[in-house]
Amino acid sequence: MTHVLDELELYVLGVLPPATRAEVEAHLVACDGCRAEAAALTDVISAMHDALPVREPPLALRQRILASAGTRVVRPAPATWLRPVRAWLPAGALAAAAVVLAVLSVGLVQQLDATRAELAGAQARSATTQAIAERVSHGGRSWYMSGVEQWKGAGGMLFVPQGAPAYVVFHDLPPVPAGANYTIWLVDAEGRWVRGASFAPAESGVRMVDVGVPVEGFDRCAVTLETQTTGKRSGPIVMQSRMY
Amino acid sequence: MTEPLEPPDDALIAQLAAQQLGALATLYDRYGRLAYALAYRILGEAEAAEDAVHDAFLLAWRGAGSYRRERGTVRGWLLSIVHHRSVDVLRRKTAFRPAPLEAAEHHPADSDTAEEAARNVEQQGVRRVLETLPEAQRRTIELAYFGGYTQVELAALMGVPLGTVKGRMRIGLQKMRRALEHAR
Repeated sequence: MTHVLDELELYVLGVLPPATRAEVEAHLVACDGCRAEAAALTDVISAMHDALPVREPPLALRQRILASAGTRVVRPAPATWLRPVRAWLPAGALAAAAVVLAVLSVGLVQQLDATRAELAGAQARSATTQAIAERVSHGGRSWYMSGVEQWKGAGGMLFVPQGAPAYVVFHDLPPVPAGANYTIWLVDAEGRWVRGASFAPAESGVRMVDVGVPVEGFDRCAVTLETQTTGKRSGPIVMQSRMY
Repeated sequence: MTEPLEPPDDALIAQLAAQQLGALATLYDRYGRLAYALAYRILGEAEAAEDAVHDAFLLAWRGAGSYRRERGTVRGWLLSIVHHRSVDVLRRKTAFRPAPLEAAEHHPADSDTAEEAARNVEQQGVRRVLETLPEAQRRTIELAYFGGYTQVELAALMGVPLGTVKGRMRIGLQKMRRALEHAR
């Protein structure tokens, strides 16, 4: 490919069509001159970042990222500059399952080394924990729902194993008032809420709940606090996540 | 006794490639706020911005081995992931496009404390450079980068030929480049 100087401004702004973008990136690997020019233009973009107003992310975001990363299986790094997320866990990823359990059961501790140290104790705590470990070891796509408002600190990891029903592993979910229950919902792109399982934990801790409906076709999952086990959603949102 | 030094970005990326979770925490502590500010600027709502930053850091976690120093800084690499992820989300949300122009400047900053003073000075400098651009060029660049519009969409939106859109982006960015170089 000839030099790509005419395309570089559009490249750094991210407006090139995918095919042209790929050609530019391939050229940049081999051409020092164009690469230097691209780097200079990238500095301009970087300056635009510097001009952004400061905005504090939610405190729970850090924990959410670390918890999600802890469930991802280690694989050789891809050779491409960027690639889409592929969140499938391989079957039998017992180590990953153990990390999930440790992370969830100790309240999303942030260091993997620390979670490993907790692993033996966490697995031995209960038969429930063992059952969760076995199920999580089968892998699948996963999304983390982070508790909001008075449920901050609680969370739930939605697992969607390949060819098997979806389930959620909750942690630190407080007991509900008498007559109330937690309800899992799936929400589609048109904002339609479909009711999944309802449950009422007797005590706070790690708990696994089957979603009860297939998740395909939905792009968001949520948990609300309800007083009915049928009908439309009416209670407050306890936690939610987008599903990409 | 001296405090342990914070690892440089390149070392962090190497640790990330080795799947050390602590490195991801440090990377987030270093760039999480900027990443969130960028995602929020593009998406215009907290929940979507949070999701985009979450996904971007996971992409960085899994793709750290693909980072190439000769292509730019770790900060630039990470923010390009945040930008791509945010624009992907935005393009799926056909009903919403953020206010393209000075919307971000009108948002009150959540954190505007004394320790932000140095950053604010830099922000003001960059904004002054942006303000030196002709309105059409600045608008085109902001709509492209923060609005996630394609060249064709921009041409239709602004009612000008595609070549004009490209020209505005090229000339505008080069002017910004020269102005920033002059300011340094």
